[in-house]
Amino acid sequence: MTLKYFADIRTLTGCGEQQWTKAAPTLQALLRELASQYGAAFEKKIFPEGRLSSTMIILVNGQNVELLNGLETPLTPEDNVVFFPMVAGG
Amino acid sequence: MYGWSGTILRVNLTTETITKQATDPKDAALFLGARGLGDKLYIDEVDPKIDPLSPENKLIIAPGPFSGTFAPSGGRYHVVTKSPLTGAIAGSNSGGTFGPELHYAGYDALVIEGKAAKPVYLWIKDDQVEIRDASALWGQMVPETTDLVRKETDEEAKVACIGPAGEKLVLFAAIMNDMFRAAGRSGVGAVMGSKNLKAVAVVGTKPIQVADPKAFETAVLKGRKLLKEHPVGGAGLKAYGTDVLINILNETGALPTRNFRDSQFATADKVGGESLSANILVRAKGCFSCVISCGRVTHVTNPKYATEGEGPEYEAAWAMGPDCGIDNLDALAKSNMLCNELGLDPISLGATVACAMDLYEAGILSPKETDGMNLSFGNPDALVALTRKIGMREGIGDRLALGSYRFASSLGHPEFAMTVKKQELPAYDPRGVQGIGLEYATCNRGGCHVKGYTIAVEVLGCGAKLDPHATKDKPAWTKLFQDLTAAIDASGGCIFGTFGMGGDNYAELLSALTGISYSTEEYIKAGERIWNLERLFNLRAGLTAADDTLPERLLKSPVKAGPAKGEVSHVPEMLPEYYKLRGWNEKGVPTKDCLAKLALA
Repeated sequence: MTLKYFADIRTLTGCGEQQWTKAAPTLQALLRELASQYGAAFEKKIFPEGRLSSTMIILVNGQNVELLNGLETPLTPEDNVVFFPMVAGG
Repeated sequence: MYGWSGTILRVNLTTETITKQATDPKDAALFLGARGLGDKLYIDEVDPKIDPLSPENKLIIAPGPFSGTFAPSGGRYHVVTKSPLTGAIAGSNSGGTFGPELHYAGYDALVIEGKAAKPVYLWIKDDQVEIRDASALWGQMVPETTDLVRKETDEEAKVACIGPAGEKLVLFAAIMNDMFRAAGRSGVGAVMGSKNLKAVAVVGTKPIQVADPKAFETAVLKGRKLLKEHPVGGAGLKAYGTDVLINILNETGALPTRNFRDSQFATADKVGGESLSANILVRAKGCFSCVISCGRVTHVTNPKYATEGEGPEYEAAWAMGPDCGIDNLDALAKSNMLCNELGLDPISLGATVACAMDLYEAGILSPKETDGMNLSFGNPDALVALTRKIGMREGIGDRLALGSYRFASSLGHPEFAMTVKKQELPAYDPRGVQGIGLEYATCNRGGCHVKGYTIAVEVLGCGAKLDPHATKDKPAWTKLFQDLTAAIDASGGCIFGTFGMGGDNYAELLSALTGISYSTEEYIKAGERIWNLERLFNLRAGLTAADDTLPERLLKSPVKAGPAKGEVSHVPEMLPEYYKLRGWNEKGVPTKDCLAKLALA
């Protein structure tokens, strides 16, 4: 599975992209693993009040997980998972 | 009057007469200022059929009621004229400090008429207004012009001017102010050039009267707090600038690449906001009374593309980057700075270069016609060279200065132009984000994102989270964004203020400032009134429902790969519902009931 991090998420992970080879059947499982790997600051960004942040954009294969199954979105090793904070422009 | 200065300044360059008239309180209340009041003045006075580059066209430069006050991010001005690029109403606004200064000088609008016999500039110091000789300025770049005008007038003067591109009537020339801020789109700089008007310099010292200072202060502080606490308005835009969108759109599968042949760019990250911040950013910079500071002060040290100044913003980085298949950030910054200096719209510039590259790779544009350049996608040196050539109208640049639609048409292939109403499309592929396609198709100034930015809800999740691939409810969202944006433009506000504030906050600010009570609904209705007024002008100018469409490539050629694979734009399916919601008939003409409801009958 390919994980990509953008904007200030990169400063929390220290990398822009990583290959994920551990088991992660759902987004929730993946996020818990990542929180464990990247520590409290990352966890606070993703789960500010114990719930998935409303200001995070997480895409699985280009689709916003809020339009899929949220934390229960199933993942496969071929998936591309992307993390953005809510940023904008125009 | 509260909020409004109460005076319209009128300068006829043919007769060299300067007159002043009172701002009509009824028009001000209905159309607010800037875009709205400018539209009303313009459309009442100008025959829609005129040649945009003739003396019969007028150029209106108007601040809004917010301009110069503490209203959050409320320092903009609007330029209204008939566009030489589109033949439609042009409305381009800009930040910086010029708009507030014009308001401080005591004017709700500057109406420029006729054509000067030789190059001139205007010097406005409160009530004193002079038409001055600009022979020595003609041919100068924007920074030099700005410095020279300040030297001749006042070192503190705020200057809006054109560069060589405007003088030479490049159809997408910009009006630049504060050196780096641009009223960029639709060729308003060419109209200024056609009038032999090089610059407008202003010093203003008058106050703007506030009807209810306490209520206004409360509304200002509330708005600022909302912006500061919002993840976009408070931190995101300042940290990474607008160019942070490159990666988001690329991952969404809606980053137009190589003249919209593709919707993803493999090396997009090299020109995104993260790379810009890491490599060329000096500091963030805000406009007048802005708490967001999205502007980028940048410095490129690479000797080949060495430059310093401001930008690129997202749209510019996209147009000159992925749309041209180029991933060299230094080259993009150089080309963007050339646009600032020459006075060019970087969106149309980049998209026109992309179109030329597409025609070249397709074998339609012969190598014999390119001044010896290899115009294959991905060539950064060709981009920089063409930017200069277009701005100076040299060699192939003279033909490209007419924009991509006219250039591709001259080669017998208008279908290569990614334009609506002959204006180049911006940085979102409407096959991957359906609502923004409807905005492109229906925007009164042609291909444009910013006057109905549905990307906020379709991609960024600001305010709502909609499926970008769905068409359901998109006509209603598009209409709402267009109407609210028109009202904010007319107030002198920056659209980025909506990354924190809503229509209710704007209505509160305007009510406290002017003493006229606007509900949220009345505020948005003012925007709807402005939208319909612009539509009426365009219809009278000869545009029809047939112009409310997208290039064939976006309607018939499905996206080849990525999250939007297989998608085309569904604008034709959404358009009837949009017309109905607007109260227009099936031909896109506002009905009598619609116009009566908006006090336009």
